[in-house]
Amino acid sequence: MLFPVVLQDMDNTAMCNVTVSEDQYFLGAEQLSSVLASLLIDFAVGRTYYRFIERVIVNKFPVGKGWVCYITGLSSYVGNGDTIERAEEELKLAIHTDFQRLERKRLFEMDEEERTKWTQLTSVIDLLDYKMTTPIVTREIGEVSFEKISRPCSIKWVSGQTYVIDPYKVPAELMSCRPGQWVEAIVKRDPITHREIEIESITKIHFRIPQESEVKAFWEGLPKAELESTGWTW
Amino acid sequence: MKFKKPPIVEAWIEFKVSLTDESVAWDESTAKEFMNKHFADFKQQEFFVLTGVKIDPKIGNVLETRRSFERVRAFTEDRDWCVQAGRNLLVFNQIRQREKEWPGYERLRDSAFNALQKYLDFRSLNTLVGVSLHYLDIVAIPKGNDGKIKLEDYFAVYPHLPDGSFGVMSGFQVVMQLPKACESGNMTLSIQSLPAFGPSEDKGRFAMDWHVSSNQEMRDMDSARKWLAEAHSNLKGVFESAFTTQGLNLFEPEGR
Repeated sequence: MLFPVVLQDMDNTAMCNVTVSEDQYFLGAEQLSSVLASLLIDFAVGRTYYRFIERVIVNKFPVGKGWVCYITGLSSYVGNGDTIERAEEELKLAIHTDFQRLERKRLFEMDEEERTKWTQLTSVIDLLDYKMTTPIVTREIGEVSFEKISRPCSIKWVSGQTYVIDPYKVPAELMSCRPGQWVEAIVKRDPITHREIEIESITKIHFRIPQESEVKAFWEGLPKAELESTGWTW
Repeated sequence: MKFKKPPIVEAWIEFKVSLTDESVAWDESTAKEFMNKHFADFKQQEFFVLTGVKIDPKIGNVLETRRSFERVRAFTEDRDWCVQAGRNLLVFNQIRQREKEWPGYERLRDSAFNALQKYLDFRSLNTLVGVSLHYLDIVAIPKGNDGKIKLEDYFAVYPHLPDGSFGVMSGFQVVMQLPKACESGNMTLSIQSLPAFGPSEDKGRFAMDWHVSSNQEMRDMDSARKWLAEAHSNLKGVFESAFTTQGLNLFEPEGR
């Protein structure tokens, strides 16, 4: 009697080789001539790149009116679609969505089901490679400086660090800034060195630092607090 | 016995050829030329390349990169037929498309031999060293009201656990070699349970891989044809014996 279980990795739960196969067909997936099983070493969703710890087998099957596909060893993720390509895309998106959701959580924030999924995902996807190759995207504020040339030369971030502008690599809008212009930028940084890889976009910020007299006038214009006078007992 | 709904999702015939007569290098451009010349309808081409890198362990520099072209795969527009050609092999695949009727073994065989002849002529090769036939079946079995499947009701071949400490089976994969099933070849059967394809899945699915490969050298095309006919007949026999009557009824046998 068989109890089909949805979440469990059924491929690895009960493996039984009665004898060592003399036939090479079942020894390595690369020897398979099947076009419904293919090897995959990595995949990308947009600009997010995932590498597998070792090559995985993607299995595709026609079911009813469409196709399904799943990865051996990661069988709780299944892609469904009208075509093989659509099913594969759905599978990648399902993995991408869960990975992104769980990667932002600490282990203690996960419930049991999430922990199981995270363990399963990270036993197939190379988490270290992901962390070492996926840029950190930050929102930063800085002031544009011209220094001694007639165009934007650097940005001094509020953190105190200075970014030297390469006109060929920054958004064109940055080159329209005047000296002293404050900008809010989306910055991609190297996950290891934290150096800027790329400025994805900028937004000019318009604000004025008030004069000292204005600050004083503002302060004095604030309503005075009227606190009840009462005796404190400690 | 013929079935209205055979569980086949893919079948292929693979030919291995001897390279003793090889005179022209097999690379991507040759493969592309072969496909374009003989398989114009197989427009979707994929090239498989193996790459090896040798690295100096002291300084981490790449000392040598080796690249070898493995095979070309070309599909028809509907992706229901595929021809694969490597340096010493030719494979012809037939893939089930949705609910289309299965075209049948005879069509696969004829297409495969036709492709083989073109391959041998193009490569100026003469000797076949092996032939194999492979079927991939996906058997869908409806779950009972209790959400369970009794394997013994459908399969004559299935893994069995004794009562007691083993509890229940949630999945399995078994590979069996069947030396007596085909006198002139090696037959292997792999059965495995597949994961549920959706949260409200009302069926359990099982993949059955049937593989028969020749264990004797083929002198010519005729001996390959003869061997394949025998292998197919043997495979058909063991397929029917692998199920109970209730199991075979899933595939809607004709004339019952």
